[in-house]
Amino acid sequence: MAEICCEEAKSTPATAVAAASVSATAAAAAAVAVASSALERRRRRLEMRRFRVAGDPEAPVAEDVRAAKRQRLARTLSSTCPDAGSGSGSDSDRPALPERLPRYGVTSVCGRRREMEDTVSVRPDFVPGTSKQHFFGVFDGHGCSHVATMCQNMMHEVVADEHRKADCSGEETAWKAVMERSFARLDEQAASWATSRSRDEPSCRCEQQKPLRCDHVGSTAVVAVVSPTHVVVANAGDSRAVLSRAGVPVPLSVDHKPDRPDELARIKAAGGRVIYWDGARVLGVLAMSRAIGDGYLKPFVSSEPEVTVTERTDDDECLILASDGLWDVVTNEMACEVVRACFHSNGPPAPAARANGAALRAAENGSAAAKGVSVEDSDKACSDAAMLLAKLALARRSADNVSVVVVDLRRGI
Amino acid sequence: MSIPTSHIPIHIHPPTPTRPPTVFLVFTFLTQFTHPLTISPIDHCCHIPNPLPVVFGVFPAAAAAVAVVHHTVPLAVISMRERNSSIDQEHQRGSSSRSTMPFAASRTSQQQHSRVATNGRAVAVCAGHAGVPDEVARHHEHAVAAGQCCAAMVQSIAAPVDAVWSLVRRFDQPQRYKRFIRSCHLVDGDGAEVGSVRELLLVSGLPAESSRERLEIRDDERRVISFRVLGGDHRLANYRSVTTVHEAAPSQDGRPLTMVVESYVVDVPPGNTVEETRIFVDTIVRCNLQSLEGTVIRQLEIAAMPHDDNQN
Repeated sequence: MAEICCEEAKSTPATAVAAASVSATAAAAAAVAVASSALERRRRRLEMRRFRVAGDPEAPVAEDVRAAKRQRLARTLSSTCPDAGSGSGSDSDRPALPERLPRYGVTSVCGRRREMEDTVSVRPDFVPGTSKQHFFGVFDGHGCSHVATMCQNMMHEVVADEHRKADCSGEETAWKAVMERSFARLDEQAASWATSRSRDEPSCRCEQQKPLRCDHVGSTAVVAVVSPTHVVVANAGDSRAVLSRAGVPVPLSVDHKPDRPDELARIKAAGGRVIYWDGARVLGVLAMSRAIGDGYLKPFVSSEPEVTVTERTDDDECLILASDGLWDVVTNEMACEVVRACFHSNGPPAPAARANGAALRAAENGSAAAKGVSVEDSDKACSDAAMLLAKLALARRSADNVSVVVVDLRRGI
Repeated sequence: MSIPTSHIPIHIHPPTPTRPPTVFLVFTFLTQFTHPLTISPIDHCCHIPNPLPVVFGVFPAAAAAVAVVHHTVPLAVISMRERNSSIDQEHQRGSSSRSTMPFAASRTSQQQHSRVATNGRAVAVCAGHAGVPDEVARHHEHAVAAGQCCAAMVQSIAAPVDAVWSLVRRFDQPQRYKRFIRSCHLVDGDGAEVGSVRELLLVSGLPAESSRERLEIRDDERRVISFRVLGGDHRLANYRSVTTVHEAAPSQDGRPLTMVVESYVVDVPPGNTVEETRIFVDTIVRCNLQSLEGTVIRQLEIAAMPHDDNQN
């Protein structure tokens, strides 16, 4: 915690935006306080609300998030609690109820770029007929926003469809095939976007020009499927997924930069070139080696994702998905520490354990109020963490859109 | 021969009262200073700290006239029409430069470097122009200096030449067929006259944010358009582009075929090679030419649809 304050102090002199810096510092100080006063909490909420208004382009994403939250609340009210004694031994080892509902926070801000081209997609219980699997995705568009928007709207449906076809049992090879086919389908969809675009979709700048193809537009895609036993991550581009395990960051994806040795070799083998033109770029144009879309740079810019399947453990704390607007200015270690601090500031572990016991008993009795309280506390910590990370990125003068998703992976909450 | 002669009366003709001639001579010096084909005006500017009496004013003008005559000779290969167009451009350039002297000085310096390096003659053909059709080859000759590179790209489009030219000729709306442009605003001129200047804002993901460009040639008879990059947030210094549109022999089935040729010359940025620069620029130009083809084809398809379908 002290390190966070010191780090923040160091970044302060370097920033020209005094207001943002003061705001970030205040938020950081508030976050690390073990016992926050009610006044402090109210001020922080007010600050975050003001900040959200400032990030006006966030509105479309916020709508999506609100819809997802309404969906989750509805499920909370309607869900029935399975008997603790029923099912296999593994079910009794992990309480079923807390895992049914993902606890997460989302923030997406325009930052210093002229337009908002990031999108975020959160889809709890996204596989029909199967529970306990939740979809999270961050998509950082370039050239225009419609490819990222398309991924936001369709990626979870395509993954669910491929999952159903594969009858995926959770094995690593099966998930790899599901994700690769899903990304390929989205890539094809991006290529034919202009001709297949439906009338009710919101128009973007490209629509006004009525081109036959928009193959100069693309998007990164980092996608996570969280189940009670595993976290599956598929990534194409330079967004990133990081797991915090016992306070140690575990990268679940590796950025696709054109000068990454294996990417450089692949591009050369395909007959392309990586040219240093304001950084390493494919043909001197694009600063990432994989993406959905960007047809004019095929086959050098591939849409094939790298897939990791990670087994969950009791030491897992959180999962962070974010665009390079965050990772360019914040290390994995710093991000994990910020989230950890937010978790602590929303209740120390020991009291949580006791509350957990009470919550379990209440859950067995079907008490909705207890479930709401528990989930809401966790959501608040995740939302605080996502917001704080975005503020930290802006304070460090990130030059890009910033989108952050924080998922609580702690068990027993 | 008649053109050089006409320059002399222009310089001598104004009246010779004491005060107005001084102002006029200063104006003349500034004009000459920006003339890309002359060297001596720069020398005179260096040697003359203050406006001089009338008696000395005559000689710089005469010297300038002689210089013009001298430098016209090597360009004799250019047709009469093109020479007129070239002179018009020079006047336009002089006009715009009066308001931005620092830039004019910089540009003149570049021009001088270019002339010295190539002995005042344009390179007729370079490797990058091997594929340019003979009908339009002369439009795509560029004076290439050391540290620069040039190339040409050809795109054939199965469409009438006028349909293609109607898109290519719009200096004020390049985004109608070019990719990578977020917006285009005219900051000088009406977009149709030579000397118009546009400011482009580019889309995200590129190693460039904006580009300021000047219309150098627009010839609707020959279907030639050319622009020069004046500045902006990018690494393509002294970029000049020429695009021609001409009718090719119809294909076997008699459908019209149009050839579009785009050539360019540009400085190689520090830290990059000629090959790298060409790969980067060719990628952008190729994408735009393919987009032009797609846009024209789509427009023709829409125009060919029955009226009822258009209403839907």
